[in-house]
Amino acid sequence: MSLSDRPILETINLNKAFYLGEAVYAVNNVNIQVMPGEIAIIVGPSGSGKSTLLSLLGGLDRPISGDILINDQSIVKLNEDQLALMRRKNIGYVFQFFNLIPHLSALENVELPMSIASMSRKEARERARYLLDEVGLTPRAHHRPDQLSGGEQQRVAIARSLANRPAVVLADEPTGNLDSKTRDMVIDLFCRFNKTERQTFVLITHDTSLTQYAHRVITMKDGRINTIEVQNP
Amino acid sequence: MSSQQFLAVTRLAFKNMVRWRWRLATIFLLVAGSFSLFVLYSSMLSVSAQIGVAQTKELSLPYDLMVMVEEGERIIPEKELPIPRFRRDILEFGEEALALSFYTNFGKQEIYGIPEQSHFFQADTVNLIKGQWLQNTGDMVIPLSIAKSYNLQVGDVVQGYTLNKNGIQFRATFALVGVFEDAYDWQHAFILRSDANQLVFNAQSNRFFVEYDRNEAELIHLLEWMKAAYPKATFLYPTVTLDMGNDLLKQIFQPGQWLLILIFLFMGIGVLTVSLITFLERRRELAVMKSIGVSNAQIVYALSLEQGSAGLFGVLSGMFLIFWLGRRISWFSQVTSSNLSLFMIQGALFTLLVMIIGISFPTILAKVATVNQLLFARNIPIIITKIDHLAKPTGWILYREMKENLHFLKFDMVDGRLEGVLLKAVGDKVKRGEVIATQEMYFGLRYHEWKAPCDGIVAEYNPNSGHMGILPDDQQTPHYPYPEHILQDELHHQKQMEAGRAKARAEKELSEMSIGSK
Repeated sequence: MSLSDRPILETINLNKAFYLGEAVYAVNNVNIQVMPGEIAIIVGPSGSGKSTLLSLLGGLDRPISGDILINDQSIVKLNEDQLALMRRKNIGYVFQFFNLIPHLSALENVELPMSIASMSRKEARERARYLLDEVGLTPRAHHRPDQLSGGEQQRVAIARSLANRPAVVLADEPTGNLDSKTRDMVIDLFCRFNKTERQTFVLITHDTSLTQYAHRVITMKDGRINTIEVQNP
Repeated sequence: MSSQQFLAVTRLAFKNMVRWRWRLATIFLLVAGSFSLFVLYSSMLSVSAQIGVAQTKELSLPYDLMVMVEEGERIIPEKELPIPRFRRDILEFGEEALALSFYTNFGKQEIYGIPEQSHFFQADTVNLIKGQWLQNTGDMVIPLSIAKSYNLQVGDVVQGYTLNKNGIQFRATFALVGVFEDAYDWQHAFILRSDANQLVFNAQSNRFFVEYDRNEAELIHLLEWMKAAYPKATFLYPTVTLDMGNDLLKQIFQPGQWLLILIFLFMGIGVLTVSLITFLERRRELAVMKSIGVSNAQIVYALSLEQGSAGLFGVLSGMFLIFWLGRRISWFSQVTSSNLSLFMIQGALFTLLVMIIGISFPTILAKVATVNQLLFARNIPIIITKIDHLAKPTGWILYREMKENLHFLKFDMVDGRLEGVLLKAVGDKVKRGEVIATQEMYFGLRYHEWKAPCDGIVAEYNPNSGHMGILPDDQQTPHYPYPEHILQDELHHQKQMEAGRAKARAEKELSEMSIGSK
């Protein structure tokens, strides 16, 4: 198996439980693989454990057992600082509610992950401008998040997630808070970056119509993997 | 942190300062107010202490300060006194005298040999009521109290003697020429200095009187300088009435020293509350920062810079406030510069301590929290413990571990119930390091994780005591490395138990045999 045939993201017997009066397994013995350059979409009804799984994949939360490999490197036993470094280099995150830093402009929001990753200010600014241009927001670059619409904020969030050319971009219901027109625009962006930059995306959604854009569709139910389908979008 | 990262985080911190300006302004005001209150109040207490403790009763004296020089201590010429050049003009008059013990037929008296042309001791200043003031050699004037006590009158003759170090007497006779009113708080007879010199063979002066040309509040400074010049001497001076007018501060500061502690307690609670509220409002922002790869060190630096700056500017503004208020408070000029510096340093150190405590709690929360805990407002445990061993091996656990190689965990139980998540049941397989149970305590501030100590199967669980026994897959898995003495004690205990049981069995058999034989 060549290096490019190795999964860029892999989970091994992953478990996460919460105490809600009793032990509830939000993620129960999950094994998935995502290959480089894929768009993987995780679908399932509300409460099926999709968001918890995505949090675990991004190192935003810790599993109680199992392992997560990103580029063949386990992230489960990393401490918070090592996790921060790993996220900085390997993971871009797109949240359902955009989560831009409210007092920074769109340009500064995109620039921030690169500044944190020691990129020079000039380089960071150039790439931020390029990414904002790619998502069609050059005229809105100096606007703060509260001066942008939901769709525009999500496009800024996508640009930010791509800033450090991460191994994988994780998107948590990226279209959940958008109208259908904006939703199509956002999905189009994902597909475009997947094709032009061979960017790997893992998206979770409860909108099954989006599965047509995916190379891999993972269905979850009650914290377990129900089905995994590999297809050509 | 590289220089570029440092600059990026600093830039972000400054932007955050603008965003959270009102919160930081609150911290700034808390620090500035508390710091200046502390310094002003400490200063006021110090001024009260200097004046109030020095004299317990109000003295009335014809001079402002008398230095009672110890024997052998030299009277320092006025020009040599350690008084700053710019304050020299406060010494309006300086006068020397010689006090000596004079033994008379009405007891031992301390009499003062004063200069012929004395400014402080003359008919006008000490209010002569009978006779005349000192004019000739051999004259003596006495206060009314002595005259009354010993029935002395103008024209009487007073005979007596002094003693030198070797006990030799020097006799003298004085004519009582005047009686003065006891308008002052000491009662001494006066003779001329030239007469006194004869009695103690031209001894050097041992009293130094001063009057100064400033308001009474300056006495403190004069006293300090004189104490520096005459470290062994004692001092006599009139009590200065500390006039603070109708200062509101005087009324506020009545309660006492405990207010100092209260000031910083108030500041600490204020800073902590503001920091915590700000942290709770910034959870999402912090979560985003963490999710894009900002490290804990960078977050701690940014938060400390933001709030630390507010504290620093608070202290600096407090200093300006103190000097501004000081000009408007009557007693402030009496605070010595050394005391003021000390209180400033104390105040700054206390502020630093309070700021560290106030800022560190939310900063620690920000540091230990995962992104999801911040994002979804979950409990953030500060104390996280991961337990994969028995904390305290009791006898039966040791016994079973040694005999059966069963590995035991003990969960914390409350009323016979595990306050947390038990993730494995009897019969379940476990892997070494796998979490078996989790527990949150103390409002989520403490988080326990119990981990499997080895690969194996959950063999038993006692829901009342919280003990879970795990049977390792590999029976060759080594036992816990308990200290040798614990194992030896346990073996000894087991042997004793076994011996006791054997003895009991033997006695029973013996008694049964004896019953049988009967």
